[in-house]
Amino acid sequence: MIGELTQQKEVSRRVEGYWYLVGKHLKKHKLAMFSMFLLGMIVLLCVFGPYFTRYTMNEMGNATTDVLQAPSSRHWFGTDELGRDVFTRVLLGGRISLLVGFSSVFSALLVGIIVGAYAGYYGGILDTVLMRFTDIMFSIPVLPLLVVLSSVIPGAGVWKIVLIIALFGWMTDARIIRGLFLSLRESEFTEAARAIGVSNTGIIWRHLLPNALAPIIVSATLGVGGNIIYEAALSYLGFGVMPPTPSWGNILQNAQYAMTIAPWLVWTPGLAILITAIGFNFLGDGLRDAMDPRLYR
Amino acid sequence: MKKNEILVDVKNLQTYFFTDDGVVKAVDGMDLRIGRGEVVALVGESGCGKSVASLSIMRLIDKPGKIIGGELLFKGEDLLKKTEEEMRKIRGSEIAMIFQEPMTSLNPVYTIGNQISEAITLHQKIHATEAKKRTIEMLYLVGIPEPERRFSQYPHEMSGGMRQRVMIAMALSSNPELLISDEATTALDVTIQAQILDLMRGLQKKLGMAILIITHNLAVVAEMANTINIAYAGKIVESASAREIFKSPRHPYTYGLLQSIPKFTEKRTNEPLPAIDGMVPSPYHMPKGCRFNPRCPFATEKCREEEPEIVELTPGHLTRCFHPIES
Repeated sequence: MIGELTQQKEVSRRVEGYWYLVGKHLKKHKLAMFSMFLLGMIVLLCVFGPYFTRYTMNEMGNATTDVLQAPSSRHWFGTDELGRDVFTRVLLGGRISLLVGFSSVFSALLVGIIVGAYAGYYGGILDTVLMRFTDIMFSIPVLPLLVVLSSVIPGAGVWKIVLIIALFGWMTDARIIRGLFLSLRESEFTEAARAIGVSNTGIIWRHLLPNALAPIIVSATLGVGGNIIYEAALSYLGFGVMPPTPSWGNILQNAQYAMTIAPWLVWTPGLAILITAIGFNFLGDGLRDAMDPRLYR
Repeated sequence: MKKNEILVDVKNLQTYFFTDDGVVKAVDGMDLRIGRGEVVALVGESGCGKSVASLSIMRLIDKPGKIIGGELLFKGEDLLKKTEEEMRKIRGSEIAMIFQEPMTSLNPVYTIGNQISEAITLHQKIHATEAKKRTIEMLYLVGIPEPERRFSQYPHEMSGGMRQRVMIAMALSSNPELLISDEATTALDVTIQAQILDLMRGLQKKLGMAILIITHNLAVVAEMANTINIAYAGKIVESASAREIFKSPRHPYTYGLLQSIPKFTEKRTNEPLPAIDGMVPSPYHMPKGCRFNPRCPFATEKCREEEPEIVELTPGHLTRCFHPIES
């Protein structure tokens, strides 16, 4: 009787794919789900919100009645010193900030994975060369170089910022991935893969990289939050996204002049950065648990 | 398929490891011959070079290790002269290997079905659905119940014995002519060990591949192997049929190994179990003369000075000793 029951249960168990399992386990992680919801809202608002607001990005109100207004039903987040609607600007700035966050992490990760994976897997001279180069990149003082770079690289666009952040952001990824590959290449399953005739390229990309995926995804998710902050810092120093194009960073920079009389100017972009960064942290945490089949119970 | 055709002929294989502390001669002049469809055992203590020998046949020796001499003839062709590309085609399709640790030899992020299918599609140009069919057949062949359901399970959902069956299925999926089993049953419970050995024996009869069993456990190969090779310090010291080895060992080391197996048929005495005195020599400092001389009860002056050659004492029974034990 009991045997019958267990057998039935076993047979009826459905065949579950990897991503199905990831989703199932992620759903159990309340904080990550909440963060995902929040981030989803922020992304949706930033992408579609500006189509529905009453104001445009640079639209200035009446010089006497609309400047530095506190939040009200007309201007939800108030107005800035030029009478522009802060809500509209924060949403539009969010587009830029999120774009910078995602694409810089993606580019940095790509470089980091290639450098780290090949250095860690092959070892020897290649490892030495790549890692010393990484060390050199680490020891370059970023700020003075940024001043030079922003004048050398033509244009003032968003992609310039992405490039700069990625250029100085791949080293940590490379080190993490190299470390993972150093231990993964010694694993028995690597040897087993070699014994069935898998090529080095196949081992690196198909066998080892998915095993390093969990830390990579955590690092990437944290990275999005981190790079949004980085963009804010660059903008603050005047090397980031150039006004009038808004980003959370340059809205915040702009706000410092009126901080004491119009604190809402600081609060809204500041909170947007904070919530987004924390959200990515929690989400990264949840993903780490959900993406590692070894942690399943 | 001719039974006495030679499949693998290892001649004077030398695999050294160049470490910071010196050169480790893990395999130093090893000879090994495996006929088609034959089960050959390579037995020895830890550190005698048996695993390195098997990895050498696969050309899977990594830095700081290097095969510095000898010949590795497989079907008459020297594997040492093959390019890495050619070797990759041979690995898994003509020579397959199963390892000691079934718990960690499977990639934890892929389902077992996925992994066996990969082994199949690497060497055979077949469609994914065909590969899946073949995978399920293989799982069935190695005695895994409900192969369709097991196909989509992850390694962590399986026991050690089941995983080793999966490894065997993967190794045999391309019909190799040689299967190397490197301590494949060592990490398993004795009952599971017996099951896996039974399975290997059954599959060998069914599929007819040759098997090279690497083990430190003579009992494991007693029933299965046609030929047993005893390795000591990187060399073969005795080679004979399983029957000969157990009945009339000629090398003192083989004799010592057999003596140290507890026997349950004898009346229980309070005598301690005989053991071979001394330790395996340090690979950095091999003794002069016969490598076994410091531990050998029959060692003479000659043994300490000269290294014996391996000689055929009776047909099919080879021993590397100046003073072989009389049968």
